[in-house]
Amino acid sequence: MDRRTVIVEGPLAFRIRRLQAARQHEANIDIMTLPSLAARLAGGFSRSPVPHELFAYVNAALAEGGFADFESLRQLPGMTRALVKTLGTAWLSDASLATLAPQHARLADLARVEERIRAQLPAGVLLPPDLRSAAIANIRHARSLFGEIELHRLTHIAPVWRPLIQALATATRVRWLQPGTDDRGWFPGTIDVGEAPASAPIEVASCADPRAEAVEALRWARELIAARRATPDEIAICSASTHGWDAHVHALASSANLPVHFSHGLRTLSSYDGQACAALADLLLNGLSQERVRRFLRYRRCITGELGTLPPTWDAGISREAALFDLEQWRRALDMATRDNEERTNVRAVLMTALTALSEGIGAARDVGKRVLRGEAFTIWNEALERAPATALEYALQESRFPDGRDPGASIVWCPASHLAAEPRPFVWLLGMNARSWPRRQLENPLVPSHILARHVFDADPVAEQDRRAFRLITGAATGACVLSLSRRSAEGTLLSASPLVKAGSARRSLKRGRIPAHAVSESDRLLARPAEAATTPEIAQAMTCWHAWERPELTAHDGQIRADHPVIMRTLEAVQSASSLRFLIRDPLGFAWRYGLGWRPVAEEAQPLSLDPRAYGELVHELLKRTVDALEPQPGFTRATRHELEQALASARAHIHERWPLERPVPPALLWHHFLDTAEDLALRALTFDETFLAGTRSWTEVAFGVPEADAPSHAADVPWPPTSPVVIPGTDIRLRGSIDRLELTAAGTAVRVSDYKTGALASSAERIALGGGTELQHVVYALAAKQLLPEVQRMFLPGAGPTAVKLDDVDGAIAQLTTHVSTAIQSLRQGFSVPGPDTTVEWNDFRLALPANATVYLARKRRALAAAFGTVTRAWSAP
Amino acid sequence: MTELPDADARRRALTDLDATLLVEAAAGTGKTALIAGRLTMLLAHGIPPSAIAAITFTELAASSLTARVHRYVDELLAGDMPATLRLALPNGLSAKQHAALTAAASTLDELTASTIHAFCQRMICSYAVEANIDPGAQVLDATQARAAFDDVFDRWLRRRLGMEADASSPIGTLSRSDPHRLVATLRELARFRLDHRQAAALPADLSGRPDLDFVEAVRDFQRWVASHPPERTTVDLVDQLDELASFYDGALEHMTDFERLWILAHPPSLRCMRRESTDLLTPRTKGAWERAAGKVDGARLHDEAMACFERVHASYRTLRGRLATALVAALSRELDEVLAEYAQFKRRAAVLDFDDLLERAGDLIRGHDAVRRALGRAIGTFSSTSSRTPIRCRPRLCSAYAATNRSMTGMRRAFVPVRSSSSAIRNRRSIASVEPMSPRTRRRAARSSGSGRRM
Repeated sequence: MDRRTVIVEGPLAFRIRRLQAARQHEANIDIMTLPSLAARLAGGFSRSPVPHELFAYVNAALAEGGFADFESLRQLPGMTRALVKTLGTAWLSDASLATLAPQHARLADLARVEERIRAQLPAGVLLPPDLRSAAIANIRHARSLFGEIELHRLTHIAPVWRPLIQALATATRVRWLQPGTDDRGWFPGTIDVGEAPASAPIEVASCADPRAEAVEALRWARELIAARRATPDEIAICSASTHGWDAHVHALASSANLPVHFSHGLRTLSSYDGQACAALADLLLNGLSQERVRRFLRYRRCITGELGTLPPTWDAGISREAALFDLEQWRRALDMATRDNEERTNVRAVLMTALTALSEGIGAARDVGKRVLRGEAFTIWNEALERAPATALEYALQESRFPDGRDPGASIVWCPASHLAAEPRPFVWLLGMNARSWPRRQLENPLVPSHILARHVFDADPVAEQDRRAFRLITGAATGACVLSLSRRSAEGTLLSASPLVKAGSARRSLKRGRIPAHAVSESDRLLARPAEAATTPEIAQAMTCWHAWERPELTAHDGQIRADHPVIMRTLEAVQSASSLRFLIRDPLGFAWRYGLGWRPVAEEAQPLSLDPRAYGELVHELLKRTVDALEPQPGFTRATRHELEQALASARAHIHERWPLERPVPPALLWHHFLDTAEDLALRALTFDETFLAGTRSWTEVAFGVPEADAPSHAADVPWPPTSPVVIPGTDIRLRGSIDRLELTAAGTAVRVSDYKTGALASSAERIALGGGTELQHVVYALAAKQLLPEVQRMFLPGAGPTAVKLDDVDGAIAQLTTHVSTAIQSLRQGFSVPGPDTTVEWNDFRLALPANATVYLARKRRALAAAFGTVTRAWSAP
Repeated sequence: MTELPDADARRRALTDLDATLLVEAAAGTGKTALIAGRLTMLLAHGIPPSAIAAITFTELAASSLTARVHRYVDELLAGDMPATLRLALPNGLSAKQHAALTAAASTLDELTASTIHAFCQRMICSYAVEANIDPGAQVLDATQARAAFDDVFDRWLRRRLGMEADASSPIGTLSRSDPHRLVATLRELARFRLDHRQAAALPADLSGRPDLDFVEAVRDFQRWVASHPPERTTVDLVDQLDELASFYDGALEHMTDFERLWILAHPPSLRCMRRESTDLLTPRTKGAWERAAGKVDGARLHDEAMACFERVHASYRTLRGRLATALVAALSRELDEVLAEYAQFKRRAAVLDFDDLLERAGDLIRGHDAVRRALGRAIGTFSSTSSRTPIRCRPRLCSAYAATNRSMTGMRRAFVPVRSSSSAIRNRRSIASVEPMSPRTRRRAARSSGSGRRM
């Protein structure tokens, strides 16, 4: 039997035709593409350069410089890509750059690039026109090499290959079976048009948006398979460009568990190795940060050398909040984490070596890749680097693809229309039949626009023409079913119109997004179509109950109503309270239950803040005060310390925080951090220095704790006005209180006391007298209560914000009595089970707002009556002066 | 059916295809339909879709305009007559028009109906090399651009405040005096610079010694008070102003650096100032003067005192204005770095933001004769006067303003003789006017856009 050679186009046709040959036991057959045929004939190891090699050559050609038009652009990241594309179309169109060069400086530049590429090519690697010429030179071997040549379907033969085929026709028999193009006047061989199949009528489906189109297409495919009307290998879903649909199809096909083959490959970034490269690129492009380092080290399988063998506990002792943005910070953090542990010094050494390399930035991408990556990730990394300069690495990674490993002979195929046109299937669904997306717009070539050279010279097969041809071929060969789908709106919500290829007046089915399909594509699709069944899923049932409960005017479990004397509430009330927890208790019982009962905490904000927020600044000042006082106790004792000793203690407290905080929590950049410490130190010094204007013989303390549980009691017995563990109880209740008074001064006789509160954030209240402020100013009352209970001798009391005159003790008693009433009623209401939203639930600083219905104001208005009834007399506390 | 009162104007817009027209009408009168009709008529006239450009304000308007043209063409070819076109085609399509429309229908997607940004993008894509733009550049949407800018800003500030920070720079000074608000202030200023990137801060001008003017005005007030019967509030006010005057006395005698300026911009807080501010409060002393000096004399003295105060106030404002200008100028210089780094980032990452599109397209048309001529041949004439490049209606170029009159005022002022819209409001349901763009109108248009430079 004579040997035969079959020429196919595109990856889909290549694999399917090979499969057919195997299935039909064809022998003596070679299946190849036109370029590989040319390479074979040109001899030995000839080939054309593969794309990523071409990128490297173009980069080198650009680096040489000396251009007329390209000089200012040659360093730009997109230039290589644009040149590779332009040269590619020029070569395929068989445009001779050397001949065109005199016409325009731009063309001369292009010719120069081509010349430089040619000079770099290793032996045997030839540009397509040269490969073609080399092949023609060997045409006498064609017959023995290929036997009879059969062009299988080919939809378009680039001008560069036409002379070769004409030459081949003189040496052997060349047939073109079912040509996909009318442009074949030049073809010297036999043409076998074949019988035009009876194509199925075209249906048009109008969908909500691109994703809805993908959903409908997969429902349709599933229905075909389930109804046994078609096998997967007969079904194809395609679009002029797969961009914008790939992610939807990938996600939907995996959740549908349908065999879908991506003939154009999957995005590299959707793989483990791709993500490892992305993590490394992120590190090099954006610098060291704890998050980025952790992200990269998670891809252990892709990391080579000692770094890859680090134990998973490498981060022991490093706080997740620590600000680690440069080598120095890492060095200190690692020093601290590994200080007490001999075994871990190796971890430190390995990490520091790696981090030093990683901190070199994107310029060292190639070296770093070689040192830390291995296997597939290393290959991806190098290919991406060859495709574009290192600075544009993220874009290069985004564009790279890898084969999905599925067999096209047993799968539905999802592909660009051009692949399907070369190997059509009987059941097809065409996505994106909208104006401008099928056919796609013919964009100008940015390097050789039509005002420099007529478009057809460089681009013999424009994209709009390709799309129209693909549409004709695919719909013409669809013998089973053919559905065109279009979106009514784009993913961004703009109105779209139909493609001109959709015949006016053709019947359109309008498919609603929420319609109930005959065949659901996946579990979630099925549940969406069957609300009754979905409602039986525990999660959905719960969500629905919650939704309906929020809509009803009465209080429900979803509004925080729980059983009376709930153990969690009882346990929480038994714990020691603070001014803030009392505020929650009175003004936001729901938040009280969540925060103190269930222990919920908001997640930390950004990892690397530029500034200190007021809360953190307050903590900074208090820690300064506390450290200073602790350093002075018991010797020489805070009250006896000289100004000099005090300043020294403060300075060392500051130095400690300056070093320590960055390792434990996020702090601003160095200079700003320094200035924050300056202002905090000023404030602390003012707070610590004795106020000469107060009565002589007065003693003074800072950070005076009260009500501290025995377990947390400080070890050293400091000179304090009362033992920190002395209990403070709201009279008439079991509520125990704890807290810390910023500063307390007591006259020698012990009859007058001044309590000060260093407001670091918001303005101090200008109240002239002690007040509850509707439950928002509890701190002062709590301090007054503590001072009164723990210092029974006191007859005069000066409170924060109350001005230079003492508040009347009667007023203090009145305020305490009020507090008692309000706390008791609040506890009563809470014990009845009303852990429901109060006035503080919706204030801006309340982190729990997130867990409320989205439009909380409307929600609360709906529940207003029920809430008022539940709170009863508690509401009086909110308006207490 | 009776014709609408403005049928003639509408007919002209649909049929006078060789004229350059300005259509002005109130919202809801059917401008979009009319433009779509004119586009359809152009197609029926045999103009290929690729040679027509329609520019709208929003993506939504662009897509609805496209959809409408498609519908009109479909209906006409199917033998129906859209209501809008009935005026222009009372007898239906001629055979020639039908043939032209049929030909156009197959390439209808080549018609440009887009926002000015998309149009500019297409333009600079064709002329990337001339415009010195990365041929592989992608366009960022508003959110991406803002995020990218904030990223650049963060990185810049982190560097400026990091290990090698310069504590004596304006940023260092600002950080020292108000660490709490430093970041917010700088970020606000940076975003402002970005939003108005063509604008530069006013140059600092501390000449003419505004400090002396202020001190002199205070001294005048003091002399006046000394030579008139005392009024307690006024005397108190003058005492406070004296404190302020001694704060500023000789302040600008020598060259001042940022730190000194910063201190000068933060005078001691006084009772005569607005709360949380350093603005002076206008005293309300009329009653006090009348009580002190009687109804008649009191009123006169009050007026004299107020005149003195006004001079003080005016010179104080001038002084503070100059100080603030100098501060902003210094900070603005620092922020030049951020803008430069953002530009560099965009170049490195091969991206453009929306403003770049307009800016580059404007530069392209202004700076390249060949490009301008080529674009003119392809789709019409451009008048380039500012970065918000206005585009004239020319036979083959339609500018569609699907937005309401109110929202188009900004654009209209750029190139259309502004006309009182009252006539449009009176004729709520009609096209107010269809006016040919005569050379005179064009000159006026060019004037009102602030530049007479035209092709």
